Amino acid sequence: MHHYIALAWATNDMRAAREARRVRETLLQSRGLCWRTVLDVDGLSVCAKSPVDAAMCTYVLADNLGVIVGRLFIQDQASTPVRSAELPSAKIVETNGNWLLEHYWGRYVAVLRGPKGDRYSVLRDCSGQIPCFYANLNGLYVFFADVCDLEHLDLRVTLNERYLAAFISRQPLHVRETGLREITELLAGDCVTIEATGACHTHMWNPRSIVANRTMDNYVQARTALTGLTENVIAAWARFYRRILLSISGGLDSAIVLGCLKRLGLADRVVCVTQYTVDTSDDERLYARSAARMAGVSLTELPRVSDGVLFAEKLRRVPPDPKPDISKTNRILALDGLNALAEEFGCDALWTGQGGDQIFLQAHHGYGAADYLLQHRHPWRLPNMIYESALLSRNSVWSILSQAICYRFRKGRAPPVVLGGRGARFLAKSAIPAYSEDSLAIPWRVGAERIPPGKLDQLDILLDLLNRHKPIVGLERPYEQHPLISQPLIELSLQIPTYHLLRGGRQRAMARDAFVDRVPPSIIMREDKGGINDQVRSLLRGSAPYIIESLMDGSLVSLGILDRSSLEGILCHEETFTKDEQFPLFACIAAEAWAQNWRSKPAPSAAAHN
Amino acid sequence: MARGKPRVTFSWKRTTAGTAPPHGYNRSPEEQCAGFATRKPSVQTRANSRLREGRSNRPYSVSFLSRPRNPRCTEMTRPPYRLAPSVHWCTLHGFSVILDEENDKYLSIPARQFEALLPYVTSEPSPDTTQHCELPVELIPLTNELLARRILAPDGIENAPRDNRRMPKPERLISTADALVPIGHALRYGPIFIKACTVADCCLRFRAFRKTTSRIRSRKRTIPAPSLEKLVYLSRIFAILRPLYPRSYLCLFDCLALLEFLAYWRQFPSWVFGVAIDPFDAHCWVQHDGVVFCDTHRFGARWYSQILVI
Repeated sequence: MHHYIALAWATNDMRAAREARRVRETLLQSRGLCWRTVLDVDGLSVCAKSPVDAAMCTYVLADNLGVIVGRLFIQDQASTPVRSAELPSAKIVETNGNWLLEHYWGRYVAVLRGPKGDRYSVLRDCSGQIPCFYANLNGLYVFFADVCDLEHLDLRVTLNERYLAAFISRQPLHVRETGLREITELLAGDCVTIEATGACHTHMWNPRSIVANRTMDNYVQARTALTGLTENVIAAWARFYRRILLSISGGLDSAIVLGCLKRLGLADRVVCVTQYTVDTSDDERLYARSAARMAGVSLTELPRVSDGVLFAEKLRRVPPDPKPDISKTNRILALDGLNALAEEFGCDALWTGQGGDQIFLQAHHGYGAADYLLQHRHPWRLPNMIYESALLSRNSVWSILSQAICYRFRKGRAPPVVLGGRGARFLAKSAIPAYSEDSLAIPWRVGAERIPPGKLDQLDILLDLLNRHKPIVGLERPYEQHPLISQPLIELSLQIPTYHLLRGGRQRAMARDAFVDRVPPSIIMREDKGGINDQVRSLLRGSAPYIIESLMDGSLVSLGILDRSSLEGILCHEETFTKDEQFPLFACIAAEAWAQNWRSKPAPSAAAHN
Repeated sequence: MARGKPRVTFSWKRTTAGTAPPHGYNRSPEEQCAGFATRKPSVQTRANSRLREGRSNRPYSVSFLSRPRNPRCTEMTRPPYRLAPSVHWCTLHGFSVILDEENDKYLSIPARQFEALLPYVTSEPSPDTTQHCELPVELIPLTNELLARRILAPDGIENAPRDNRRMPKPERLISTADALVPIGHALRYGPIFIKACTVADCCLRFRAFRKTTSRIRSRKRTIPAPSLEKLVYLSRIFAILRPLYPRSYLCLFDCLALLEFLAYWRQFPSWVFGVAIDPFDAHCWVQHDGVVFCDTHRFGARWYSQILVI
């Protein structure tokens, strides 16, 4: 997490210029020990805090053409870290940041100033690991990562009921709108350009072109590249940390990260932790132990917190954010234990294996055969592909064949966007959001008719992966990081056809093959996945008094968003809920806690619209 | 939370068994596996007597033998109702889930309400001359609803004994991942496989669920225990051939087809039905001892509480 505030305004806007000066002075005076001015020219001013994360830094482009906060690596074999002086500032600015995406990778937000000073661009890298939001204060654009950094600004925000209703009814929801009307988010890979005419959003990182133009159809070559690049990105991030606390679940992805760290000779700098729920089917400790044993690292077993009362208390402590977040409500429970472990072992990084499902492809669809038929003029292996797709998707070979033929002749529809949840059940009828399909359309699907259906499906899940993680500022020590979510690995995965990634009708088949010498056989062979159903159930029922009180008579009901009667049966333990309703139920809880947090904050304060 | 007059609400829905997913649409195995009602009916009634509530995180089942006796029912009186023999139930996480074999439906009731009713329900037939004990007023709406749905029946009716068997906890899943049988070899079992799947298909489409389960039950009565080695081998053959039958995965169909396939070689493992609560889900699988033979990728059998074993 890197705290920054960038102020951009039109050079002929005197009022905005005065406001920018006032904001900057307030920042430096109020938190002068932490904030420093990185760039201050007419039309652009950037302040940043000294990063807590050892990997983060600030690059200042030559000729005051901009600032990049985060960390950059050159896209080469060694993933060499970059220094400010090495950055071709003019080229970066001329291409509006595209040069950065094509030649560098990392975690960053780039604030660029046009050579004539009449245009400003802010680019968020495609890994999405550093948040970027912005607000327009009468011509002064304020870009930031943490909304709490704006507490000294005169920023009045109002709750966006439409967004909140959409957040509950449609999961996952990744749009530029936020829960506050005045604040907009830059999604991963987005760029916003500000000119005299206003702000213009574009999606700078284009995964469609990667899929369409670069394909690695040789299985052995792809597998070798996958192994090498995974080690490469892990080594690139690991070099900055003295000691890494690695959270392993007993699953394949975290075991791969651990195995690569061992192979790189970094096992002595790794401490593992696994979370478990006692006496339930969610217990994966056996697998976690075997992974730790194979890598020769110590493993601490941390019981999952299932105390509903504690859950209710922690919900109130979630720091304010422009968007409510379901994952934070779960992560916050484990924070105390993880923070204590990190302090005990002197760890300055907390890593996970998150991202493996989307990059190595944990999928159960049958599009492999369709993708193969679309990409081969002479599909000699089609019968094998059909059979493997049928095994994986548990459909019959006949339906897979028919689907593949339909896609081949362009009569197949694009795979449906997988939206979980029947959350509309909990909404008041008047609150059912009137989002048009266009506004909720996944940007990467637009103009993607020629993309094979398996790859389109992967793009959908990548969109969720790259936009869902938000740090819990002020409570996480150290911040949770995901080394697998790195641009080179994501792009490589997009180049590898799905039928190679799912070879033999097994999810993550290529990853199992590529890392077979680094991961215990029990995890390689493992097909099932752990879950947290028992913990979720305990939290929900154990915190019932708090949830009943806060939801039934809370902000969202008073705003007319939630329908009280639809929640009553479930919350009062008279009814159970279905799998489709689980996420929306937690979305209601997360949204209510979020709304109450905002309403209780003095500034920036939030008022309900109307 | 009861409000005013006791209100009883049920919502029944049966998912359509046997329909292939729409073109281009792939449902997860869990979504496809529910052949029964998945909607959570809720019963709200006023219960003055609070019996044991499910507080533990562990799912558990309560048999009739261990139910608490109500002081209103004495040696001179008997509980007035009996649970229909086609009804099976288990209690987990504060809910009692009932499987009605006769009507092919699930029902969930808050455990405290159902357990308040249990002392007035028996599972054994009784002579007509015995007096029945009086049902409390607050339980009447629930009782009437269950009578209307034939979950309960008035005592005195002759019924078959109930099967309350349970299987050991699943520990191992036989999946296609560890199948070492060449496809060519497996194809030799093709005709029997096709026949088994066709019989299963027809049973699901044209036969009542109760008749299907009765047939499976009666077939097992006189047969010795299956051989684990044979079961593993044959189930792998079945798993290899399964994609050849034009029907997507549905736990009910797959289990029935596998049972028919195994029956050809006189192997009769158990057919297990399980439920989960919060969120509600229903599933079935084939099991022998601790080995599961027909399940989703995610080894779902571990996460369900058994409600019926055939």
